[in-house]
Amino acid sequence: MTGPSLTVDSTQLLRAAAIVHQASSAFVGFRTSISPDPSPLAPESLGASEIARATVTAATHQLSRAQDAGQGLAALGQTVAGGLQLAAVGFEVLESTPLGGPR
Amino acid sequence: MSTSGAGDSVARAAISDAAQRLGHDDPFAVVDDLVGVDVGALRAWSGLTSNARQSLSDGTGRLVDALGPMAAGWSNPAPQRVIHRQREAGLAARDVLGRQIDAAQDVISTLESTRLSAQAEVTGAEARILATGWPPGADLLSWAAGNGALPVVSATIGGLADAVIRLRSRNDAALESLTTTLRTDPAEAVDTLLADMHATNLEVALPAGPGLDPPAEIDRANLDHLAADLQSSDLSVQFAALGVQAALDKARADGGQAQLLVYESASSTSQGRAAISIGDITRADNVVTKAPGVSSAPATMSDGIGTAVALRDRAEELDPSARTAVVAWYGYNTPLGAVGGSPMTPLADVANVAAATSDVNARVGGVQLVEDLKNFRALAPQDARFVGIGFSMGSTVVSAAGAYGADFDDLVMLGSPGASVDVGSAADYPGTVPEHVWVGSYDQDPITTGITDNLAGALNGLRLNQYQPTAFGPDPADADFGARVLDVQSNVPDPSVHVGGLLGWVVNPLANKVVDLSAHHSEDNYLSGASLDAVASIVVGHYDDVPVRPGR
Repeated sequence: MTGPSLTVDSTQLLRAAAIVHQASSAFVGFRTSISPDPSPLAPESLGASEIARATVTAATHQLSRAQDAGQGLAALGQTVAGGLQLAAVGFEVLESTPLGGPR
Repeated sequence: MSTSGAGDSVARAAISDAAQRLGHDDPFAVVDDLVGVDVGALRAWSGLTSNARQSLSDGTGRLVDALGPMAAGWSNPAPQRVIHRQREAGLAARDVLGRQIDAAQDVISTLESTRLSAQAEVTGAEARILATGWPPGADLLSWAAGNGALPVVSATIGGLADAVIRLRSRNDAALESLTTTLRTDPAEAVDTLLADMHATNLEVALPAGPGLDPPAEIDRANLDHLAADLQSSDLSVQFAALGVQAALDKARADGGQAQLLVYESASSTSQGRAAISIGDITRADNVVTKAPGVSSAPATMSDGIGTAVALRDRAEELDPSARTAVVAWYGYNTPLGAVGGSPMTPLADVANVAAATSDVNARVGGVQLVEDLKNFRALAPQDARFVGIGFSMGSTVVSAAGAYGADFDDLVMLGSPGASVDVGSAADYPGTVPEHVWVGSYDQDPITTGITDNLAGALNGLRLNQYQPTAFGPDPADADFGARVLDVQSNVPDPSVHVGGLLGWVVNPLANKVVDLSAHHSEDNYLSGASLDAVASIVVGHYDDVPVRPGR
């Protein structure tokens, strides 16, 4: 379908949506559950010193943030994939109308 | 720590006691801390973080594969830009984790090395003490003093105490280094991206021109509204918002300054509304409001930004002393453009086709345009000139708005299917004299030559459009209408197709109409070349430079 300078190929859009959806699954490690893995570090795992405790605290936090990053990107990907599917279907319907061309 | 026998264990107790009597910290307290570090836990942490990094790597790699089909599937750059930014954020997170894993591996090596070294230091010290002939069970320092072994015993204990302190310092330095690396948040880039999807910090702060005050932030409320919609869980709302954001980005990149003058969310029954000004409306001498044709919507409005920028640029070339702002106005519900609004259904589809063959949407849009123009006038300088330009059904909108009191200084209809059923001639605009009503109509453009009336008639036969015998009102390029018709030619070659076979005589005329429609009837074609020059001359009031010819 074409508009003033718009080009749309619904088949390609659906293909792109499927790939983005796969990327979303990859971002969370293909897990069916997105529950984060607990950190294996206990407060004194690396020693009783102040720096050892601080390291454990930072490492535990950043593991959680690493999982946040994957989940955030997965959620965004799912939104984009859904939008692309919606657009593809919408354009497909428009394409099938008698007045699918530009006006 | 491990011990190799009862003698070692007795030696350990003696060394510990002697060290403290000699003024050292108990070396075995330090050694126990060094040896007791759970390196396996840090290794497990590294493994989980590596998994997360691998997931980010896999996801970003897969996104690359989506860019090709997306570029081939939709010329709208907004979704591609989102994917591109999503991938960049994923790569940034991956790289942060990579550095943290590397730092953790260094620490694991250090901790393991330290543990072995501490054990070796203890074993060596015990061996040296036992080698002096010290009888286990005797007080070590007393025995050494009485047997000439005090220098060896003191040196051994002092050496052990110093060694374990050095090992502890080495561990602390390694942990300090890891903690420093762990200060970088791996999710920061992702958080920024998600915030940008709805926050106003996507807005690019543009430098003001020399001697100019920064432009007033007249569109803050609309930008905030758009930012919120970018995070909407309603895909129709979010997708239309993405389109508007893409148009804003394009307008800022190509036009230098953009203001979101109108923004209303899409919904299940509406495409939403948006208007973007190319140039600062608050300082404009000329304000153009440009309405698009069918198949347009806020979700795809970046397609109309290019012509708005081209018109603004050409107008300012023709009159460098005057500032021109061109408002891309996507303020009416355009048939066949419902991307950001309602999901299309067969029933809605039929309704859209019917809507495309009448000017009802255009006349409703005309009322909306009059209302929006009141706001635009309030923002613009008091003596600014206002020009209404519409392409295709958008021309019907601006014509209807003119009839309803838009008070355009100049009104320009391009590729018009008709001036709306509420307008009979160029004398029907209360605020615009006929000499300032202009029409651009290519002879090869089938939309301007009755095809829409024919289609409306066909639909009347199907009882889909029975309330309106003429689809869009009079042809404004008709001599009787009384407008000034631009003497310009289409910018594209006149294509022709020939279909052979027994039915060629039936198919050829229809095929050529379709080809003409595609080739000549586009906003780009009407706002480029000689036609763009003519329209830009109207915008800046250089009327003598506008070529005109008699109407049809």
